Amino acid sequence: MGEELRTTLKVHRAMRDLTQADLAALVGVTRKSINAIETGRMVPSTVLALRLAKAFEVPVEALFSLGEPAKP
Amino acid sequence: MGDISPDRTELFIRYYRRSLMLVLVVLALLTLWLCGGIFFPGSAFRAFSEHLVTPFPLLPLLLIFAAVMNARDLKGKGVRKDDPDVRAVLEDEHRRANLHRALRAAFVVTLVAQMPLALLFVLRPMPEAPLYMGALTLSLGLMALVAAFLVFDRE
Repeated sequence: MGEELRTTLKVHRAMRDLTQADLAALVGVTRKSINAIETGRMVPSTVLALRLAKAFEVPVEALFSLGEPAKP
Repeated sequence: MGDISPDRTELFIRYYRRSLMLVLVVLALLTLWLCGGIFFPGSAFRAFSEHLVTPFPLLPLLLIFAAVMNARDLKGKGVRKDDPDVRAVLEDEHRRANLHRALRAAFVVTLVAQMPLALLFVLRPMPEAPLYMGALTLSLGLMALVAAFLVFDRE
């Protein structure tokens, strides 16, 4: 195993010129959740991942992928 | 989801956080008062805490004032469960994950606290020891839960 979740959420958000608070309001969570996902402190549930993908109109795989953890 | 306003969500987050801080203060005071009453019945703290409630209820009034000031930030908007902003905060995944972490931490604290509490009651045997131990365990557990949640849920 040893894989970790990687996300391009921040990139997609920047491309659409959305703030964390704007995106949070779009998908029905708080800004803290978006911040926690972007910084890798939280793995979103399937429902939230699907909601995020729907908000950006991209497949979930475009937002989240599995990768090797970054070396210290 | 479209009805959610980022500003109001932030407002509710701050409101809940301050409310929890207030609850923590009340729990801490109750725990101290309980400890003072059980282990040091004639102590200065016990006498001081009695004076805060009787003859003039200064402490309860201060707490009510703090709660009113906190609610004032909501600018007249009540906390309704069907409000999309309130639901966004209450059902927030990060908050829930932090609550679960806090529950685990509080469970560990209550387990660890049993030994020192039992030792204290062995040193000061009294007939109501099981009742007092239960009350102290409950208040310590609640304090640990609220404090841990506030720590985990900070920015």
